[in-house]
Amino acid sequence: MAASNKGFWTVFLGCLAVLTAFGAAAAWSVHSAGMFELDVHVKGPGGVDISGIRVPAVLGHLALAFVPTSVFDFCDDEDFLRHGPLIQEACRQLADAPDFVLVEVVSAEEHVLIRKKGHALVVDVESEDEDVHVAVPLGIARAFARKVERASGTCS
Amino acid sequence: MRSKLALGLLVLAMVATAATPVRAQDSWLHIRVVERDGDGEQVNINVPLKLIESLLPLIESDDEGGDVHLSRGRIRFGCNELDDMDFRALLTAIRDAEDGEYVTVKGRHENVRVAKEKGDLIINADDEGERVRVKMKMKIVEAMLKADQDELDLLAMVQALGEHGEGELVTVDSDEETVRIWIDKKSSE
Repeated sequence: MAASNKGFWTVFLGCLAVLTAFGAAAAWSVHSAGMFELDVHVKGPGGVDISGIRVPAVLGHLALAFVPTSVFDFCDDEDFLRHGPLIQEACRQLADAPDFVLVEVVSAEEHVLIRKKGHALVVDVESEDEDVHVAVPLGIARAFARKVERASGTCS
Repeated sequence: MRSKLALGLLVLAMVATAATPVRAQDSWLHIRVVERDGDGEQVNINVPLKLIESLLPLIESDDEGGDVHLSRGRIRFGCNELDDMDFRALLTAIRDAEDGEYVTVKGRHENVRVAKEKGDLIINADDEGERVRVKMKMKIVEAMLKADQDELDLLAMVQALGEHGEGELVTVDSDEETVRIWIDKKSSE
């Protein structure tokens, strides 16, 4: 009896350890891929307030995998096709760079800040009419550009 | 058993360290524009030179008249773009010559001075209400001239800027705005 109990607990703890390891790996994967973030606050009477939208980029990668390739067929847009490799390389280089402010515009009417932070490109706009915060994970932007490039490979 | 484990961990640490690139401090290009009129808008741009270096070869561009062509990190000027002035020949002549003034234009509305001083190319241009100052090490000019006869190598120029270009590159001071372009090792001012 004691031996069977010991065996049961060994198997149980082993399964628990494996599940914990998988959970930790999944959590790390989600964290490393980054998060889509969106906050919009339109000022004034009747203004819209959208805040706290946070979507793991992993879901974006998943969605890209299931969206039909034909959706990404931008054969008619030569500018977009030409800049696809540029976007991919820019995302790759930005991902390797330390956090920094890329562009900052300060005027009487608005303050625009575009920066690389963590795994994402973050855009913050504060103006008299609205405040907007958007974070786009660089990995998903790169995957999108790659998908377009592959889809448009059949352009004649 | 413990000694083998310790040895294995030590080897792992050494391999991990070797695999991690030791990055020297990267150079950054900074552009700052401050408007004097209107609402005094200010624009700050910071870009690592490595990013420019990796993206330049991917940019293919032609201006509308077809006189300026950018491809594979090299720029080619058509003969119409510079009013028949051979920009490359001028830079080559300055590169090969001693320190001194090479172009001096003094007009009613503009003054232009191109000179070489202590290893630097100096371009000063004063027009009505606008002062332009360009200062660039000759090593960077030499890098630009590495291209074919009718081209300037912007990619080589960017690489040379990373190695030799720390400091102020361009300042423009006009009634409407001031523009400052410089290179240093910091990601922001």
